[in-house]
Amino acid sequence: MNIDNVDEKRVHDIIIIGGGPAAIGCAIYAARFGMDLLVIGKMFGGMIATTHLVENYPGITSISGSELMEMFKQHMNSLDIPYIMDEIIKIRKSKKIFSLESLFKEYKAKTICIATGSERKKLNIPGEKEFEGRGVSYCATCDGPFFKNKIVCVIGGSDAAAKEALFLSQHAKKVYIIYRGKEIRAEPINKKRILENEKIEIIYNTEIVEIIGNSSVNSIKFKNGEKFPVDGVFVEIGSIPNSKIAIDLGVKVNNKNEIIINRRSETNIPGIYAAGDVADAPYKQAITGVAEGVIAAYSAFNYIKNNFSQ
Amino acid sequence: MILGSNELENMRRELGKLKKKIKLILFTDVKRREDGTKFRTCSSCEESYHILKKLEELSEGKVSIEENSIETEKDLVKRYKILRIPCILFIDDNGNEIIKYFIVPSGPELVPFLQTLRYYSGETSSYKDQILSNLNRIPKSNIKLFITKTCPYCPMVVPIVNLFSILSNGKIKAEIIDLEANLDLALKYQIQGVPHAIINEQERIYGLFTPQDLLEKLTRGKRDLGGMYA
Repeated sequence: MNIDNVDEKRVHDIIIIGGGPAAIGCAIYAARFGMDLLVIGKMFGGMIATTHLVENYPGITSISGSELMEMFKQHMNSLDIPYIMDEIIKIRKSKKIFSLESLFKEYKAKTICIATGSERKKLNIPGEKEFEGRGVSYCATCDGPFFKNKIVCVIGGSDAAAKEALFLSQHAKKVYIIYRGKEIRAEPINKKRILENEKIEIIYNTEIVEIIGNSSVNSIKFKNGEKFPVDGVFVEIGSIPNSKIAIDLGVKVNNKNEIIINRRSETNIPGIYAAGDVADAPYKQAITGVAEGVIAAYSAFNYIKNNFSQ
Repeated sequence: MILGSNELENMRRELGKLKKKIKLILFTDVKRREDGTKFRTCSSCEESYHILKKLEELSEGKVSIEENSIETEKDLVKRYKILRIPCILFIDDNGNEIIKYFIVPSGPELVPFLQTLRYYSGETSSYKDQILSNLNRIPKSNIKLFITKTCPYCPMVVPIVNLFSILSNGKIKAEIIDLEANLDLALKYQIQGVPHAIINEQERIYGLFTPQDLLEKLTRGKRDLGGMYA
């Protein structure tokens, strides 16, 4: 949707902040409920767009993250759901109406679904920023092909780190998973694939403290002082929820700054809902984010029915 | 090459939104046989030609394509410094260069290319006022954006860079470069990750970036926030 066509006086039934699966799930259901809605996001797609392979979305055996997002986009387009590329920086509440200030406009809504996702955590060690794009990467799908027949490492022990390592093994000569714990936390199916892959080796109980190189990365330094030669460092150590606008409004978050929601995707503020990676669900998957977004749409619809006269 | 039904549907839908007629200039290694028919030996030139001709066909007169040979059109090649092919050139009303495309606009790069055509035809954007109000803080600039067809972030940043070029009327020139087809440039600029923007041969932005991030780099942090914060 063209931002010039946005009517700033109009009070929408729901504004969905975000552009990933949770936001889209909420938007599709809100549209089907006949709600007046807007989806506002910095970037369409979310983190799943960078996932090389999604094999656990029911109904789809195997698909790339970007193709999955393209399908979501087509579904949104079929319902004429308006999407605006903008960034919400502050939310205020006055009586029962929310005002959302962005970089360019002010929007109004009776309800909001915050589905702003999360951003990747960084190592914050010397050399990391200096070598970004020159050996340090946060996206194996994007940059794996540049390390053909080279030696790379994946920092992290999650299922996401395991999947990155498996993808990288298609290109690199050798892949090291470097994890500070005793055992990686991958799904059993991915753990098995890693154990069976001769190119992948896991180094446990280890942390890296520096990334070293000249024009590009050529080694890393471990906590014990040992230098280890690698050509690429892929960082997969988790993410930080994008919950600032929620916190500023007074929405309750947990000690990880994830927005606390109940089973109706409700937050502590009536009319505010949250879904996806920004919320405090223990398992963060595209399908669970979509479900939370859908539930948020139901809750918002019922909230409006009970609190606003027709 | 065969375009899928999804791609054709995307083309029709996006071309229907063009606000005015546009012309694209394509540089290839096109030659003529004795019987007058044209041929290209460079396969990506052939692919680019077919995609652009399809756009022309589906556009109901809104898009026109001018193909030039890098071997025979020496004056044009020299004027626009065309060193690589295929190259799709966007120019302003005075014939000045705005954007050079050194990637075949197919697969995941088709939609960003179509978005660029829309901007080129005059469609506005939410960032228009911000970019225009900061133009006097931005020197003449060149952005080389390196992308690959397998990179999921790349289709998101291509329209951003092109938008800046179009709105600045070429004061900010953009080059969209297929890294895999131009590995010598990858080596020259030491690029091992995409998307990767090189700004004025000095500054870099690696990874996904927003228009705000690009504005910050171009104005060297001196941007005026504009809008409601002016």
